[in-house]
Order: sequence, then C-alpha cells, then structure tokens
Amino acid sequence: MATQSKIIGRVPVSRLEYIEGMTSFKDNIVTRYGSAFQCTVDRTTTPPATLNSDNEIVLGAGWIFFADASAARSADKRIDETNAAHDKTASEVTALISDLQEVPDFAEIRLCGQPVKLFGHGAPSTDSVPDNWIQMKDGGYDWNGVPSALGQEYINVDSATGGHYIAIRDSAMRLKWYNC
Amino acid sequence: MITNIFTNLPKIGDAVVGERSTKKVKFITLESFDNASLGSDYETIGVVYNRRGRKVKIVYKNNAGKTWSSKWVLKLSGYTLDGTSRTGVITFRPDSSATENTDVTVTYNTTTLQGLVNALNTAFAANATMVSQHWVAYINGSDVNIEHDYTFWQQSSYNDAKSGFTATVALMPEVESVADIRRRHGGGGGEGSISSWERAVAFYRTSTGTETYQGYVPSPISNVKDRVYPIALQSYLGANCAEIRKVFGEGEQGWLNCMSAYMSVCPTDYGNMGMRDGLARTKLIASYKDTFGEPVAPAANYCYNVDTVALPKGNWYLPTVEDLTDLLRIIKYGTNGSVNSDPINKTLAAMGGNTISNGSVLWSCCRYLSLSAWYADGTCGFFSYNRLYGGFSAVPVSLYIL
Repeated sequence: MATQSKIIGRVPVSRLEYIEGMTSFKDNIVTRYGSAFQCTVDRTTTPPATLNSDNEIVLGAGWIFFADASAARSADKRIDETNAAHDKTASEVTALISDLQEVPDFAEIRLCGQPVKLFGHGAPSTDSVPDNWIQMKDGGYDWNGVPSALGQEYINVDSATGGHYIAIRDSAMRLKWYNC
Repeated sequence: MITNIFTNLPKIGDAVVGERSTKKVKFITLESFDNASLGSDYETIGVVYNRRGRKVKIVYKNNAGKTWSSKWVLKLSGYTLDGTSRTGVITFRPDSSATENTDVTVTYNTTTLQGLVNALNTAFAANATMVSQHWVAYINGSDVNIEHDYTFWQQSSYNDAKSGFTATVALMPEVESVADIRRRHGGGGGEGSISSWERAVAFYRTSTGTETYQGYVPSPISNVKDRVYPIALQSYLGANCAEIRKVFGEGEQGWLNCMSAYMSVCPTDYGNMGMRDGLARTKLIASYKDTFGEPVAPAANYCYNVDTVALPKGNWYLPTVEDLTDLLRIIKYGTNGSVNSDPINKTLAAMGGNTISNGSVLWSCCRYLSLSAWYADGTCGFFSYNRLYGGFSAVPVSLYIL
C-alpha cells in the first residue's frame, strides 16, 4: 500500500524577533517590544503589534498574544519618564515596583480582610470559628458567624453534601449565609 | 527644588488639580506641591485621601457646616372625608425650651384632600408659631403631608397628630436607614465603633465620666462584645475589667489592645460599611424639595453641587461611613496641633483650603434611623448618630478612577 501523507496539524514555530515587512504564517510566533505574538491567519505581512501615541502596544489584525509583557513595558516607560525627573527617582521607582507587585498570589487574595473561602465545621455559627478565619489577635477581626464580604464562601468540611454556603445580603444591608 | 511634579501614581496626600485646557484631573506629589508657582492653567481641587488600585478617593479643598435636613415631614392619616363636620388635632412642641406641646384643633368638612389641606393651612395660619416655623400641608400623591422647619430635636420627637388624626414620619421615604457597624471584637450595632483612632485614644485615656459612652464600666464584664462603646483607661484598670485584662493584657498597652477591639471593621460589605454608593445616595437626598421648591438637604446639596473644571457637579457627594473611616484613618490634625502632622491637612493648607480636624463633627450620607444620620464624633472619636437638624461639617468627596 502506498504511503500517504496527511497534515494533521501544525506546531507553532518560533520565528524569533519580528522584522518589518516579513511574511508570517499561521501559528508562527514572533517577538516584538518584549512580548511574543502568535499568528492566527494563514498568511500576513501585518506587523504583530504597533505602538500608539502613548507608546502602548496595539495588537495587529490576525495576531494574538503568546506571552504578554506589556505591563512591564509600560512600567519601563514610566521608569524612563521618572528617571528624567531629577530628585523623585527613588520614590517613583519604589512606587512602580509596588505597583507591579500588586498582582497577588491567588492564595493571598482576601475579601474585606478575610479569606475568599472559609473552611469550618458544621453550619456557620457564632460558636464555631472557621479554621482559616483571621482573628483579631492575628491582625484581622473576630468571628461572629457572619461573612466579611459578599460572595465569600463557607465550606462545612464535615458534611458530604449540603455544606456549601455563600454570603448574600439581607434586606437590612447585613450579610448572611445562603446554603447552596 | 523642583516644584509641582505631576504623577500618574497618586498617593495619600497628593494634590489634585484640574487642567483647564484639557479639563483633565492631574495629581501633583505632596512633597513638590507649591500653590504659588502653579500655573494659571491649573485649578486646585483637593487632596487624595485613599487609593485602592485604580480607585482614588479625593476630598474637596473646602467644607462647610450644614444641616442634614432643614425640614420635618409627617404624613397625615385617620381623617374622614365624608362631607360632615369633623375635627383632628395637630400637637407640636413650640420651641426647644418648652416642656409641653401646643395643640391646634383643625375643623374640616369636605370630601376632598384639597379641602382638608385648605382646612389645615387655615389652622396653621392662625397660629403665630406655626407661621414662623413655616408649617404647610400639601397633597402628595394620594396622601396629605405636613412639613415645617426643623431646627430643634424636640420637633421630631413630640410633633404629632391625635384626636381624629394620626401622623407618621414621611421625610425622604426612599432614603433607607441602617444602624449597624461591625467592630473588630466581632460584635455589631449602633453608635460607638471607633472612627478616629487618635481622637478615641486621646479621649478615653483621660475620660472619667460615668456614662457608658464615656467609657465607664459600671459592673464586671468578661467579654468586650458585651458593650458597644470603648472602655476608658480608668475603668480598664479597675476591678470590673479584671477578666478583660486577662485577654488583652495589663496596663496601658493592654488597654490599647482592648481599644483596638472597638475599631470599626473596614473594609467590609456588612452593614453601613457596605454602603459604597455615596454619590447615588447624596443625589437622592439632594433631590428632595419643600413645597416652595427649595432643597431640604443642605449638607447633601452643598456637596453635590461642588463644581470644578475637571470634576464638575455630579461627581461630588457627602461621604459614606466607609469614606469617613478612610479619611479619619489618616488625619492627625486636631489631636496634633500642626496641620503638617498628616499629609491630607498639609496639602489642604498648602492650597489654601479648609483643614479637617479629627475633633470636627463630620456628617455622612448614611441614615441611621428615620430621624437621624451617622456622623463621626469629634469628642469621643466614634461613629454616632444625630437628629437631622444638626449643623455638622459637610466634607465633599469624590471617587476618581485612574
């Protein structure tokens, strides 16, 4: 039986740094302005991205981000602008670094100072503090059976079913647990 | 030194200005702000008092003493419009020093609401005190309302109807009342949660008063949740707080630990701190008018009508309880005699604005009960409530998204 070749797909191919005017093909990956872009059309000479008047990245037609480092780029831009001013460089750079670090690790995300998901024993009640509720002595505030924020969840770890609660608001602007 | 350095990353204390040519909001660093050298293309607006991500809270450079409501409104019921002669009595406290009410009998014989309103207004016009207080009855939809000036607290407690009439409060009916602020000790409730740490510590460190709100503990307590008010140092060190000291520690440091238990939990979505729609609330409150078409909410109107080139009218509001917490968290001026003791007042003073002391009494737009609203108390440093006729500071604030 003769051998038949069949294209079953295409593996993304890195074409390294984009060169103005080059032709790109579907799934090619090129870099520009510190980010990586993947071509989504069969063939194009459109650049993967350009810069607008504010020096921000604008995605080209037929391209998607493969790796987006535009935040770092805008931070670079702000650092350059900051360095141009003489005696505020240190404080502005510190603020920029803090700004970049504001994207939190999911495990550290809080809802009004308390964990997004609480894990407790039994239905939520004043008498049983969830295992991970941050009490006042730990820098939080004491449990009283009531959620800290809308959408917060409580999981009764001792229940196989019916142990999922979510915080909703009652008619008097207070919060309460809704058993899902 | 380089002055007036603009920043895209505003921090607390940075000056907020409006660029006249572009009508854009701009921020100038606290350290570099110099009003004298600010060009004519810039209008000073206020100061950043809080920032969470892209949300920047701004306090206006000016503030003023205003009442929350200048009118009291009652809805009348119990009348009978059958075309026969009938009477009802409006009873009211004539002034703040009076110990008894004055009764005004209204005789009416009509089948229409207008006829009743006419009879009421005829009776009001015949009473000199009612005339001076601008009593007027009017039709409101299918109801009959009565409004008058609101200048002393007794009016909201004792003005009523009887003997053929009944009266219920009808002032700003769409403005809800919530009286619940969570404390760090886990309890909630009405007045007493700390609004200004500096002010509360200063007050309760030296308070020897024998009222509960003054920090007095009249009998032994074992749990701080058992009271809504902070505990004065004098009481904390006494026998009635022996169990409390086992939890928080001895001496002044133990007392400070205990005081922190009475701080308001913020941020939280619970209760009054979850009311973040200050602009919508203020707009609603400011929309109410009296029978002459005049606004009846001076504090809300003052704030809502602030107009600057970059943040025009419609962007400013009377602060929520949460806004006041964020503001007073920073303010030290008051307990500290220098306007430079906190970044907000330092910049307010630098731009020639009105400073904000933690000893001031600041209105919020949050209603406590039908006849009262929340405010930050400048004596005890806690959130309290007062009748709506009260004249406290209205401090306009705005929320700007970067």
